[in-house]
Amino acid sequence: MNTSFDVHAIYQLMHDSHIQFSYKGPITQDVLISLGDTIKEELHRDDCDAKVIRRVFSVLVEAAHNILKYSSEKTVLDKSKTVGIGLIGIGKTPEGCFVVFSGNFVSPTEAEDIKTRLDYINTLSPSELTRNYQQQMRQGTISANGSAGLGLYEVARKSGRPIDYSFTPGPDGMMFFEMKIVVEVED
Amino acid sequence: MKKLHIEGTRYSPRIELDPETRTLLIEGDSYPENAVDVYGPLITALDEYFEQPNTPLNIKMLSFFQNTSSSKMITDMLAKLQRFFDQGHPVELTWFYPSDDLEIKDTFELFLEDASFPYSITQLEE
Repeated sequence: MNTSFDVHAIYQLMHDSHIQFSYKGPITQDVLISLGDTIKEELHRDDCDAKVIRRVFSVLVEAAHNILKYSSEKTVLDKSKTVGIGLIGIGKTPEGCFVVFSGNFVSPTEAEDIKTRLDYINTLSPSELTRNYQQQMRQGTISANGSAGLGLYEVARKSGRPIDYSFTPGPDGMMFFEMKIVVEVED
Repeated sequence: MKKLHIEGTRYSPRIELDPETRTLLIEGDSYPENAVDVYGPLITALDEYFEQPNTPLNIKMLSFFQNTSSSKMITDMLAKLQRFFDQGHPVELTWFYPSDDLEIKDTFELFLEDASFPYSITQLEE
């Protein structure tokens, strides 16, 4: 392993960006459970409302499952299971809200699809969001990999404000897709 | 039919469909990667359960957290239960929510918006 990286720089970046947890690697269900447990415990110690903890975890789960299923960067684990690789974590805004962030590479086609969905979702009022969500829930179909096409709707609903996202060109024509989702602490 | 028993895991609920006591219990948080794996067997078992006319079923939901994959399967399950109720099977459901999170009550109300079978969304007594 190359040990010439700068730990202090990583510390400083996380400190300055108010990042509490960050993980980069294969986003397996086990990782999600461990990360989830750690985050929930920390939020609980921080005197966070059970309601807020569930909201944050909800966003974390949907973001994590999207990476797991749709990242163009993959690895094969034992039992020949293919899982997506990406970055996921949480931080705090200066106002004291939580931010769940995620990042992973996707194909250009996938990027187009995500952009279309997010741009649409970001135009919806809370009640329109709920209506669309309900409709998709009832009339949509679940895919073989368990995807109900509702992850981004759920993220938007739990966040209560437009989803901050961007795409950055990466190697091999892939696009790095990142989201920053603010979860309100107050109602 | 035999009792259907699905073990709970850290991320999927315990599911018990008992033809003798005429009950269905779904207990625990639900955030599996693929909820079809978890709820699929239950949805299939319901067809067998309701084969005889006028079969009653009392459902208890003690699951506070669902990812979207689970919500979709639960929505499909509720739609199926509604169809069986429309066919004359006495179906009733109680969904418990925790006292520390009233937002969940709203979520469950949304799930059950179209249900015409008797149901109650009840605070769980700690």
